[in-house]
Amino acid sequence: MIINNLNLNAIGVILLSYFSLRVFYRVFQLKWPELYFSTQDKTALAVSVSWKRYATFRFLPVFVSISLYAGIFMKNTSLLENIYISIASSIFYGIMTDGLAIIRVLTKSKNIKTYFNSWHQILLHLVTITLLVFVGIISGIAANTNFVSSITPSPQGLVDNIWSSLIVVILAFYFKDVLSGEGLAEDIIFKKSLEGINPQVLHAIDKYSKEENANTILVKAICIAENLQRPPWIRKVEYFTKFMRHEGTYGIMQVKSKNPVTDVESVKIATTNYFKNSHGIKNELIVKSLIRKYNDDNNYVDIVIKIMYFLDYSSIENNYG
Amino acid sequence: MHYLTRVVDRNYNGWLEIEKETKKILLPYSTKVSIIKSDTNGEWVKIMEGDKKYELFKVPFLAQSPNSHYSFFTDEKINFSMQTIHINIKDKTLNLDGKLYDIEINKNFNIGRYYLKFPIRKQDTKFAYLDETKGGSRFSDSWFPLISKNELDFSKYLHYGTYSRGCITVKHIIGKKTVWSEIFFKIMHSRINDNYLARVIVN
Repeated sequence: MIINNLNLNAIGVILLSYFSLRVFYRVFQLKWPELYFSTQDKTALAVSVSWKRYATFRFLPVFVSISLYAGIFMKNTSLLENIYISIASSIFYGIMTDGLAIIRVLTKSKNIKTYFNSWHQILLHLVTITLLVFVGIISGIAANTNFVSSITPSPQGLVDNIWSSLIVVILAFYFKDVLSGEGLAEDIIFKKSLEGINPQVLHAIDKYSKEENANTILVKAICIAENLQRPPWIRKVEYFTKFMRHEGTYGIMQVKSKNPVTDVESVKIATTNYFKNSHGIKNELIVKSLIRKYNDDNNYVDIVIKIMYFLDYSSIENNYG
Repeated sequence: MHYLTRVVDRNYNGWLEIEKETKKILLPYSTKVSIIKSDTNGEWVKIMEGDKKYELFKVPFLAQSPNSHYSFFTDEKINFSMQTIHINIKDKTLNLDGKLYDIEINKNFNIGRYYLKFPIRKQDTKFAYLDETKGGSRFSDSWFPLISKNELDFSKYLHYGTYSRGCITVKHIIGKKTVWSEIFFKIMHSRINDNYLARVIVN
C-alpha cells in the first residue's frame, strides 16, 4: 500500500510539474534563441540580454515547480526519495522539451531553423538536460526542507487551489497578449543595441562600405539587428564551443566560417560577400531581397527594415517606418 | 574641417546636445566645426558658423571603448548649395528646388526678401508632428528663423505644423508621407554665408 501511494505521488509530481511548466512557458512563448524574435517580444528581449537572465528564466521555474510539487506530494518521504523523484521530474521535463527539440533539429523541422550549425544547437539542448539533472537534485533537497513543507498545501488543499489558479492562468494569457501587442518602444531597443556596438565595428562598417560601394545604412542596420538577436554573451559561447563543430557563425555579423573571426573581420566578410555595390539602392523590394540573401527569416527582414528607417528616414523609398 | 553628420537617426533627430558649464547648447545637423584635439573623454571642437561661431566646446564621443572612439563629426565634405525658396502667398505654396509644397501663411505676410538662419529646437513640439508613421518628421522640432533686413520682427519662422500665426508653416497632413524631412535636408545642405542658410522670396 505504501509503495503504491509512493508511486502515485511520484507520478503526480512528475506530471504536474511538467504540465505546470508547459503552461508557464506557453504564456511567455519564448522561442529565442531557436528563432529570431520580433521587437514586440518583450520576454525574448529581456531574457537575451545576458546568460544569467537566460539561465534564470530557463531553470528557476523548473526548480520552483518541482520543489513545490515534491513538497506537496512527498511530505512524508525520505530525502533520497525526494531527490530521486525530483531528478525523474526534471529529466522527464528535459526529454519532453529539449529532447524533442533535438529530434526536431535532426529531422530538420521547420520549427527550428535559425542556427547555421545543427550540432551546436543539439549541444545546447544536451547541456540544458544535464543542468536540469542538477536542478532536480537541488529541488529534491529543497522539497525535503521544513520551509517548503510549511508553505505547500496538502494534496486536498492543492485541488482546492487549482480552480483559482486556473483563473490566474487565463488572466495571464490575456495580459500577455495585451502587453505583447503594445511592446517596448522600438527606438529604445535599436538605440540600446547601437550603443552596445564597439566603435571599431562602427569604423569598420564605414570603411568597408566605402571600399565595397555598399549601402552603409543597410550594413549598419544588419549589424544592429545581429547584435540584438545574438548579443555579445551568445557570441562568446559560440566562440568557446568552436572545437565542437567544424564550421559555425561568428562575429557580430554572424558570418559562416570554419574558424572564429572577430567582429571587425565579420563586418568585412559580410560587406564583401552580401552587400557589395548596394550603395544607393533604396527600393524597398530590392533592399528586402538583399536582406533575405543574408537571412530569410521574416521577423529578421522586418526588423532590419525598421532599423534602416530608424537610422535614416531617406534610406528606403515608399516606407515611413 | 568637419561636419556634424551622425545625428540624423531617431535618437538625435538632427540635434546634438552639448553641456557647457551649467548650460546646454544645441548644435544642428551639418554644422561646420574644426576639431582642435581629442582626449579620452571626447573632443574639443570650435564651431565655425552660426550663432556660436568661434566658441569652443568639449563634445563626448558617439561611441567609445578603451581602444577606440567614434565621433559625431565626419570629414566628408558636404557640398552646400545656395538655395532660394519662393513663397506664393495667394497659392499658399513653397517652391524649393523646383518642387512645390503646401503651406499655411497669413495673407498679410509682408512680401519681400528674407533669410533663413540656423534652426532653433522647439521644445514643445506636438508628438503627432514627430510621429513618422502618421505623416510626421523626426526633424519637425527644427524651426528656421526668418530674418528680414527691413524688419525688426524676430518672431517669424519657417516650420512644420498645422497653423500659421505669423509664420510660414509647411502643412502636416495626417496619413500622408511627410515632406518636412526633405525640406529640412535641402535647407541644411544650403549656405549663403556663415550666418544664413538660404534666401526666401515672398510674393
